[in-house]
Amino acid sequence: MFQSNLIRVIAKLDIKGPNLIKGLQFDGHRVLGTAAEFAEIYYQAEADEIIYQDTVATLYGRNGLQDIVSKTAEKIFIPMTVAGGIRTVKDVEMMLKAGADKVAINTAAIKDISVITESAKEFGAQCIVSSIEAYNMWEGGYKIWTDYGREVTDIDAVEWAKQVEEAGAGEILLTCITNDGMGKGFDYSLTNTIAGSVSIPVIASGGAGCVEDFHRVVTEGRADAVCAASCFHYQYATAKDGQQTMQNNGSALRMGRHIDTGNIDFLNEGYGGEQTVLVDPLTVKEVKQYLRSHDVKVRL
Amino acid sequence: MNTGKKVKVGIVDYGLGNLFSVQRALRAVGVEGVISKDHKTLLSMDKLILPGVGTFGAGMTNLKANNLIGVLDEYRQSGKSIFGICLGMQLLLSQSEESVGHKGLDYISGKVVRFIQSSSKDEQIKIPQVSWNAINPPMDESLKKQKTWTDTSLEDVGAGDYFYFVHSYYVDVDNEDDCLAQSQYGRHRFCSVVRKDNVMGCQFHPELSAESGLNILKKFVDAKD
Repeated sequence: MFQSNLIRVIAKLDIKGPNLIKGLQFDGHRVLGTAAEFAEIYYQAEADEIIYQDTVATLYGRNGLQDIVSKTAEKIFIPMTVAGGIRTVKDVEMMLKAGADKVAINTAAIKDISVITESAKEFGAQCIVSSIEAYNMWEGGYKIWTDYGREVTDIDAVEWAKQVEEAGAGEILLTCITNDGMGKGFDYSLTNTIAGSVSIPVIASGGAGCVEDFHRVVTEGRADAVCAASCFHYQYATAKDGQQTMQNNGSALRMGRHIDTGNIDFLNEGYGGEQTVLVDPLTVKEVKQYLRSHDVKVRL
Repeated sequence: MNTGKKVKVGIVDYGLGNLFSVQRALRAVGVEGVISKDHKTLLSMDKLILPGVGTFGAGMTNLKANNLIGVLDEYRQSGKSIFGICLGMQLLLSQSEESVGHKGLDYISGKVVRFIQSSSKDEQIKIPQVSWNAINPPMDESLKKQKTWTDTSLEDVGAGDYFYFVHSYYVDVDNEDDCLAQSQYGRHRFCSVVRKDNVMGCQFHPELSAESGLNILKKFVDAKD
């Protein structure tokens, strides 16, 4: 009997300060609630892992994540990956000590790939994830962007994937920025190319809008794990007692109470504005059931 | 059940692996695990957990550097329970392909071997296995039926329950009796939980395996030796 690996279904939480946010193509972020609260909900909902992505850590050169990470680690007992602002072996150690099980590195590795090699040597490849954030330049192929989509490089995404494997990364978290937050599906071709170029597992991220997308990125993209944000966030962000609707109610947001100020206009205006994004709100279970009914092995 | 006196669980600190995640998981099942490399402290514990990630050679080297091999030997001979997790499980074996020349603790006879990539295009596997995977009781060949998990730390686990694995090597025990659970990856059917007398080990991470994993830790700390 042959058995390939089970496909992991992962919830990705983009965070800014203590809040969970979600944007379009790494921009135009909206506050949805507190990150720790969502993480616990995803644990209860049987997500296989969670990923915390600190969206501003690189920008401000700080590691404000530690607090959230250690609080979350007390409550959830599935792997937690932390990304954003991890620059040195010391940063890796700090995050692992705070309670992360893995760290994902993008910007710092582009500057000097030895941070992957050294960290893998020190803590084991199993906890070093290479985060690859690629932008589709059409004629020019896929290029790596760093600093959470704020800086452009000329590095080819597929070549880079081979290099990080060589350097000792244990997994690749592949985000296609072009698709992120749009709900129009993953970049199947890029995922397939990278999954075929390396032997370490590839987590596909960016663009899930409906259950079929998850299935396609496994079959057409050969992803080892699937990752989504909006589909899940909009499913689990439900009105609390006393809130009439999922709209803004005074300063209380959809869940919990946000701590920083953020862009909350959309709660009154709807998700529309210039761009209308339609994702199907999905439970983790719905995604897994769909995958299983299409012969994809999952933990269910 | 341990009533009256609180059970003391030691987490062996030899500089490899995320000891805090094990400690947090123990806390979730009501026990404050003691992270230590101090010989007296470890020997005074009711139970020991040997965690660990990294290579087999580095694991044995670090145990040796902290003079912990003799402590573990003494602990095992005392009859109290030892629970190895991931690399900690592999170290319980005699030797490993990963680090030839490094002797293991040899509490369980057998060796640690690497997953082999298939030459068939349709049967490629990712190495390491970074995945949840099911565990099942192996067949007891002499009785011609599946082994039972009654009275073991797996008692509350259902056959086919999923656990989180991260590994490129797996254990191949010499004596089938020492294998308590097995899993399938690619064409490999491997032993995912070992147990012999007071020594137990699992290849997966119970501390990262949601409620199923916490169940195992709870059974382990609650078991009367």
